[in-house]
Amino acid sequence: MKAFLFTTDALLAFFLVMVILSVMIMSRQPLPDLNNEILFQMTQDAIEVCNLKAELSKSCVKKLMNHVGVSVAFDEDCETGISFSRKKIDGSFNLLVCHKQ
Amino acid sequence: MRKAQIFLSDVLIAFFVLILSISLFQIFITQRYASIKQSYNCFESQRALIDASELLISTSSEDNGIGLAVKMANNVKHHQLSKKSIEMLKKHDDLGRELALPRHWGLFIYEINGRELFSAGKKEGLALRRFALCGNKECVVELWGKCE
Repeated sequence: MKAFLFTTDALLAFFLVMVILSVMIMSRQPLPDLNNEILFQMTQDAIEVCNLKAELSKSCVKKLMNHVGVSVAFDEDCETGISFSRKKIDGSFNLLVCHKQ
Repeated sequence: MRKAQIFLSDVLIAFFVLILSISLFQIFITQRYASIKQSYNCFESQRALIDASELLISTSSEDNGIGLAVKMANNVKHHQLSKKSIEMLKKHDDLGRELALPRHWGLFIYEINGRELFSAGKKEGLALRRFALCGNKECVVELWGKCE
């Protein structure tokens, strides 16, 4: 009888530990993927470089982005787009970049 | 006797169902743990690559010995890299540690026309590319790092 009670206690303790560990694991959320941040950064770089070369235009940004295999579309409706606004010497430069998967 | 047999069989069935449920739950928890661990590791690697790239293109070697940006009249010209500083990268013995990159890393700098300016490490894992001007030409600073 004592042995039976001991086994039951051991099993209960084991299940308790399992439950606590499971709750701890379940409560943690995966961290966000930084791919969008990286894409944002890369597009900003492209705009910066084109600006430095005094060639701030959509074609310049597109050329750079295409070079690293990122397809971009401008001024189109897209679900996952990043919008950039930048002042140009001769007027404003608005850009909506859509990341095509 | 018959009642005892039925009771024992019910207990056994309940026991097997319990064991099966626990096993399935355990598999689910193990998978979730692996995915969370992977996301944490990749997040750290991505963060390290972003920080290292920022250090390279936005700081000058005069300030920290490893930055690549040109410094003129005490102003750091971010996104304008000095070819001399790029050349000097070859003299760094432990570039990965200095840039706080993941254990398996790679750093490649090349002009947009394909001319290689610097290369070290391997192209494995995640890639981060930054655009800049090297001299007067557009170039790409490419950092690689493995999720660990």
